[in-house]
Amino acid sequence: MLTPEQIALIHAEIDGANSPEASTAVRALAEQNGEARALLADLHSISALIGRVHERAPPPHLRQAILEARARAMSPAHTSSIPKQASEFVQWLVSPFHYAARRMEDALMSKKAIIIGTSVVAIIAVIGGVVVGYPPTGGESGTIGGDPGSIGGVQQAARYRGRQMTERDVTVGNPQIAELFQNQDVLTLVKSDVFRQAMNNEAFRNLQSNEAFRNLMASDAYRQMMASDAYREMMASDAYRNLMNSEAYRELMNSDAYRQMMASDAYRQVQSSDAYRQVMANEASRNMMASEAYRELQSNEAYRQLEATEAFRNVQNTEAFRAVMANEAYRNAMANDAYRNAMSSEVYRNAMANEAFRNVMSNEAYRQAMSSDAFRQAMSNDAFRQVMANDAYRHLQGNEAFRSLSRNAQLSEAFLREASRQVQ
Amino acid sequence: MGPGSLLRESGPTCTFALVTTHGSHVMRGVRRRGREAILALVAGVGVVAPRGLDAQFQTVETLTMRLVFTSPLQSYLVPQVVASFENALRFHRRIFDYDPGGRINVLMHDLWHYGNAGARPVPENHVTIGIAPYGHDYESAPAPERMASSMNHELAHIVTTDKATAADRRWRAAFFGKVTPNVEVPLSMAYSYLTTPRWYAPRWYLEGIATYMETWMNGGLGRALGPYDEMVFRTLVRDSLTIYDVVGLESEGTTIDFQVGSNSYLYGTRFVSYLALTYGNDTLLAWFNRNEGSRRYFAADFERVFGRSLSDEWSRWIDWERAWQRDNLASIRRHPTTVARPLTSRILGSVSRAYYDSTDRSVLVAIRYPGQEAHIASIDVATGRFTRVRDLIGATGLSVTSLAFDQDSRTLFYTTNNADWRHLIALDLATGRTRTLLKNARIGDLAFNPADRSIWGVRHDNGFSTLVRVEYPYTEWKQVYTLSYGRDLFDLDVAPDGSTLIGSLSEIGGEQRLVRFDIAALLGGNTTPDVLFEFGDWSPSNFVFSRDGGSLFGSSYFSGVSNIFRYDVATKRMDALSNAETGFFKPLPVSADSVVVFAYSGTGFVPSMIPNAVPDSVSAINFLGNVIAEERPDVQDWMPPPAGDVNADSLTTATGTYRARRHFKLDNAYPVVEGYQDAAGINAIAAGVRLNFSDRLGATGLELTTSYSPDERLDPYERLHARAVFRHWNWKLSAAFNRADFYDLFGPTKMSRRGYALALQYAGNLYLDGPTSLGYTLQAANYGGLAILPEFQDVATSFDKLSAFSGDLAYRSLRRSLGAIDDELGSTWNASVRGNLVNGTLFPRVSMDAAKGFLLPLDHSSLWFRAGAGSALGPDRGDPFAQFYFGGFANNWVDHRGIKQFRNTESFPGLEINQIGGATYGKAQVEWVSPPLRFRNVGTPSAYLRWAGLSLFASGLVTDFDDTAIKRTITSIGAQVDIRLVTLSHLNSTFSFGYAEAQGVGVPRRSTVMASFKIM
Repeated sequence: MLTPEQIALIHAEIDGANSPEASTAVRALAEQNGEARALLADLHSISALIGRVHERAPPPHLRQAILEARARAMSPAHTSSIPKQASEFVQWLVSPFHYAARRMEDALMSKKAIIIGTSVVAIIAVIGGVVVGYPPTGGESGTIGGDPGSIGGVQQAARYRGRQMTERDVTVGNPQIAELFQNQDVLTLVKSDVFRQAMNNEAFRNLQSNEAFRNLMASDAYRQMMASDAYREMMASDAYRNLMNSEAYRELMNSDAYRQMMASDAYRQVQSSDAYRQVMANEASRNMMASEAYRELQSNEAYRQLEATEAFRNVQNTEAFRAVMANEAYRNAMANDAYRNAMSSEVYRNAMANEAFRNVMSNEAYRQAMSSDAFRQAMSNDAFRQVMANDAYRHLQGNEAFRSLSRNAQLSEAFLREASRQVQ
Repeated sequence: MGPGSLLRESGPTCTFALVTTHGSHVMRGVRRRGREAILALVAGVGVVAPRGLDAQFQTVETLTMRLVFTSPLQSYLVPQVVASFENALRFHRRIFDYDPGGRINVLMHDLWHYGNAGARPVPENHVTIGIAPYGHDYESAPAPERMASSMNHELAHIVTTDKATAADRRWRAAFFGKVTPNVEVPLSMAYSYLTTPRWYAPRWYLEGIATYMETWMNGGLGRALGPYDEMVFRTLVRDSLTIYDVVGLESEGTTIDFQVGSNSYLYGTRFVSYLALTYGNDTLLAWFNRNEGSRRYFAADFERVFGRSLSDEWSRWIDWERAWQRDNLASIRRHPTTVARPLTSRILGSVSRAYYDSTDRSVLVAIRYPGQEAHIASIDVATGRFTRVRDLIGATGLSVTSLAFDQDSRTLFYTTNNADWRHLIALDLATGRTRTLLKNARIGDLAFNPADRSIWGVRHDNGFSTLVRVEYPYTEWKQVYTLSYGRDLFDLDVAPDGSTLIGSLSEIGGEQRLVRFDIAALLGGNTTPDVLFEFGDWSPSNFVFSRDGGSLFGSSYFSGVSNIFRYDVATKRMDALSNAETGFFKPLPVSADSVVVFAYSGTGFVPSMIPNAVPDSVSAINFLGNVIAEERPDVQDWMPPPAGDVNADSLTTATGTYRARRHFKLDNAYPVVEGYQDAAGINAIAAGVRLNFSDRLGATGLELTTSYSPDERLDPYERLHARAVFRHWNWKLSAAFNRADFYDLFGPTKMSRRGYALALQYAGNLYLDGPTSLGYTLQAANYGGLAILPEFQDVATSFDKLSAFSGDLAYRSLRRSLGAIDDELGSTWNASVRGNLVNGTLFPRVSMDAAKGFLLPLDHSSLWFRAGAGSALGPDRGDPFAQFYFGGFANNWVDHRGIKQFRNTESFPGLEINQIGGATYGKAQVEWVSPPLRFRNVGTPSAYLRWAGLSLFASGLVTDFDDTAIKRTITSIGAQVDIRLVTLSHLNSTFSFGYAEAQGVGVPRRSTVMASFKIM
C-alpha cells in the first residue's frame, strides 16, 4: 500500500517536478514496489495520452481578462502617458465594444459554434488540401509521439512509439546463478584447485544436495548470521581456520555426544550467556579443559557466575553434556591449541555474542545439517575445509543469490554443474 | 546464417553457409562467422576432446522450436527465448500464413561481445543468437529487449526464405529435404534454388523486410525509424554522392564503402520503407510472401507485384529519396548551421572515442577505413599532421575499439578482439611498447579515473552487463555492479577529480538516459544513479567531462540530427552547441572555446573543430518511419503482446542434455554426376546419388556418395565409386572406393584414384586468439589397389598398397583491411611430417613453409614473400613414395578450390603438373597483389561482376640440392588475373586467367596458359 507521500512523489515525477534525488527515490520505489511500478506506468500512459491532445485556447475574454489584470498589476500608474482620469474615461467609452466583442468570441467558442465552425473549416481544408496538395510529405517534423522540446532552442524530432516494452515483456528464470558468476571472486574460487578438489569430493556434493544443509542455508537465521560482521570476522580469523584444520575438532564434531549436546536447549542457553563467554575467554578455563586444573577454574569469577546459572546447571545435568565431558574427542579438542585459540579469540566471542549466530546454533536445520553424515564426511575432507576458509567462498556464502540456491535443488544442481564446467 | 552471406565475404571461398545478422549493425560488418565457426569456438581451442562436448549443451523443446544453449548459465534466459520466439512466430504466421512444418532450431551462445543473431533455412530452419547486450554506437540499430527484437527479426528471415509453394514442396519431397549448396557437388546449387528459391536474393532484400518488420514489432523502435539511416542518406544527398543502384549496391556498395555490409541494411530498410509508404503494406508483403502464383526469383516476382522492373522502381526510389532529404536539409537550414573546421584532410572511416593528449596537443583516436589496417592514430590539433601510432588487431564496426587515456603516464588503454572476448592492452606512448593487461577480459566502454589510476569498464558475460573496476596495476578486474538482465550501461566517463562516473543507461524498453554515479557511494554498494537528463526517445551518446569537470559534452539525435550538447553540472542546464547538417559525434572539449567533434560524411568521420557556443535555434527533421506510421497505420498493430503473457513452461515439451545421436537425421539426398579417370587416362562419366546426414547443431555429419560409370572402357573393378565422410567435432573419418569427382569432368587436374582408402583425421588448435591460431592435424590412412599416388596425380605407384601417416603444425595470423578481397598482411608457417609405409619400407619426409605479407601504402595492395623446404629421410629416395613433386598453376578448368593455387608449395607455373620431382627441395616466391578494380554496374541483379584483381609473381625452385648430379634449379615468372562474378546473389564464381614462363638448368624454357572457372 503506497503512502500519500509516495503517491505524491510519483505524480511529481510524471509532472517533471522532482529533483534528481527525488527521481532517484521514485525509481528505487518502483523497482521495489509493484504497486508503485504499476502506478508509474499508468501515469506515464495517461501523460502520453494527454501529450497527444492538442492545446485548446481558453475563452478569449478569460485570456484578455488575465492579460489585462497582469498588465494592471505590472504597470505603475505613473508610467502612463495619459492622465488617469482620461484613461478611465476612454476605457468607459470603449467598454460596450469590449463587452460586445467578448460575447461574440464566447459565442464563437461555444460547443455548437465549435462543431459547426470546425466542420466548415475541415471541409474547406480537405477540399483545399486535395486541390493544392497540402500538407506535403516531408519537411516539418511529424506529430506522432513527439513531446515539446525541453532543450532551449532545440525542436525535438517526433518519432512514433507504440507500446513500450516493460518488465512484462521479460520472463527470466532464476538469473541468480549466472549473476553469481559475474563476480571475479566466485570465478576465482570455482577455478581454484581447492574448489576443484571439493567439487570432486563426493561428501561435498552430498552436503550440497543434503536437504538439511539446504534448509539451513535457506533459514533466516543462517542468512542473518552470514550477514553478520562477527561471523565473517570469525570465518576470516586464523584461529578459526586452524580449528577447522584440527583433527581433534573434526573428531569432536563427529561424535554423537557432541551433537546431542549441541542440540540441547540448555546448552544453547549457556552459549548465549555472558558468563559462558567470559569463561571461554578465560585462559584458566581453557587450561582446565586441557590440564584439568579445575581448582583454578573454581576460583574464576566468571565460571562461578556460569555455574550459578540455571542453564548451566541444566546443561550439566544433561546426559549429552556428561557424555561430551567423557568424550575423548572432546578432551582432545580441549587440549588442542587451535580449538582453544578459536574459543578464546575475540572474533569467536563476538560471534557467540551475535544473536544471529546463536539463532543458527539453535536452528533445527543447523543441528540436522551438523549431524548429517554428509557434513561430517565433508568436514573430514581437506579440500572442503580449505574451501570453507576461502575468502571467495565466504563471499559466496554471503551472497543472497547463492543462498537462494539452497532453496531449490535444481538450481543448486545447476550451480554445481556449472562450477564443475568452469574448473575443467 | 543467411542470405547476403556475411560468411561468404570473408570466409573460405568454398563455404556456402550464409548468415544474416541482426543487432547492432556496427557488428554486422565484422560478424562474419557461421555455424561452423561458432561450433569451433564452442569447442574451445581443440585441446578438449570431443567426447562430452555436445553433452555440455542443453536443449529445450516446444512444438515449434528446439533450443540448444551452450552453458547452464544461460538457462535463465530460456523462458524469455521461448516466449519471444513463440510471440514472433505467432505474428509471422498470421501475417504470412506460414507454417514452419516442424521445429525451428535455435542455438543460443555467449561468444560475442555484442548481441547479434543469424538465420538460415537450409537444410533446416536455424537461428543462431548471441546473448550479449547490443552495441549502441551512433544509435545505428535502436532496439528494445534483445531476445524479442532478435526473434522478431530472425523469424522474418525464416518466414521469407522458407515459405514454399506447392512446387517448392514437391522439390523438397524429391530431394528428401531442403538442399544446402555444396561446392563438391555444384548441381546442389540448382537443387537448393529449387527447394528454397527465396534464399537466393541479395542481402538488402532479406535484411530490408526483416528490419522493417522488426521495427514495427518492436513498437517503432528500429532502423525503419532510425536517425542514423536518415543521416546516411541525408549526407549522400547533401554531398551529391552516389546512391547506389540495385546492382552497384551489391557489387561495390557492400565492399568498398566504409559501412560495408551495413549498406545492405541501410538500403534494404530504406527501399522497403519507401515501397510500404508508396504502395501500402499489403502490396509490400505480397512481394515477400511466397504464395501460390508468386515467382521464384525475387526480382521476377517484383515485376509481378508492382508491375515494373526492380531497377525502374529503385531509380524512382532514389529520386524520391533525394527529394525527401532535400526537404529535411531545408528544415535544418531554417536556422544557421554550424560550420565545422576539419582538423585534417583525411577522412578516417570509423572512429573510436578520442582523447586529447595535452603533451603534444594531439587527438588520439582509433580508426578503421577501407584499404588499410585499423590502427590508433595521433592528429596534431594545430597542424593536422597525422601519425600512425599502432596497428589494431580485432577492430570492429563503427566503434573500432574502446580507448581510455592516462595523461600523466601517457598510457593509452585499448581493447583488441573487440567483436569477441576482448583483451585489455596498455600502450606506452613514449616508448611505443604494449603490454597485455587482461586476456579475455570481455570489458569495453573504458574510462580512466585519474584520481586513483583505476580503469572503469563494462563487462559483458552471459547476457549481463557488469560495471567493473580495474585497479592499478591492472592485474584483475573487480565487479562493482551487475545490472539486471535487459539493462545496459555504456559510454562511461570519470570526472577529472575522480568523484563521479557518468554513463548512458538503457532500459528494457530501449529508453536511455544520462546518469551519474557517486564513485564512493558506488563502491559502498549504492548502485542507484542520479539521472542527469532525460532525452526521451533519443539516446545520450558519448558524454564526457570537460577538463575542469564543470560541464559534460555529448551528442544526441534530439532534433533527429546528431548534434553536440553541453550539460552544465552546476546549473543542470542542457544546451545545444551545434546545428549540424549531417551529424556531429564524440565531442572532445579541448579548450574553453573549442570542441573537437567527428563530423559524419559519406566516406567516414572527419575530425573537426566547432565553437563552444550555443546556436540560435535547431529545428527538427522528419522521419520516413513516422510518415509510414501515419499514412500506413496498420503497422501500429504489428506489435505482439508482452512476452510475459506467453507461458513458456506450458509450451515446453522436453528438456535435457543435447545428444547428437538423438538428433541425427537425413537432411537431403540428390543425384550426382562425377568424372573418373583411370591410370591409363581414360575419362568416364559416372552417375549416382549423394545422401547428407547431420545432427541439429551441424557438429556431426555424414556424407555418403555412390556412383557408377557405365563406360565399358573402364576395368569393371573401377566402374563403381563410393565415398563416405563422417565428421564429429574435431574428428573426421573418411573412406573411398575408386574415388570419383565432379571436377574431374573438366581440365587437367584429377582427383580420382583407383582402389580403396580409409583415413582417420583429428584436427585441433593449440592456440586460438582472434586472427591468430596454431593448429595441428594428425592423420593416418590406409590405401589398397593403388595405381597412382594419392598425393600426386599422374605419378604411378611402385606398389599397390600404402599406409600413410602425417602430422601438420600450422601457424596462421592473417589480417585484411576493410573491404579487402583477400588476406592482405600477416604471416603463416607450416611444418609437416609425413610417412609412407610401402611394402615394409618407410618413406618419411619433412617439410616446412612460411609466408609473410605486407600491406603497401597503396590501398588494398600487398607484397608477399613465401619460402619452403623439404627433404625425404628414407633409404630409397628415388622411389615415388619418397619424392616431392612440383608443377603447374594447378587450377582446373572448372574448380572449387582456392583461386590462387600458384601460391601452394607444390605448384610451379610454367611447368606441367607434377613435372619436376625431387627428394629435397627449396622454393621461394614473391608476389605483388594489385588493388582490385571494382565494377559498379556491370550486369543485372541476378548476375554481375564485382571485382577484378591482378597478381604478379616470380618463383624459384631447387630440387635435390644435396645431390649435384641430379640437382635442378628452375625459375618462373607469371601473372594471374581473377574476375569475380556473383550469380543469384550468393554464388561467388571466379574466372581466372594466368600466364607463366619457366626456365632452368636442364629444363628448357616453356610457358603455360591457365584458364579456370571457380564455381563457388
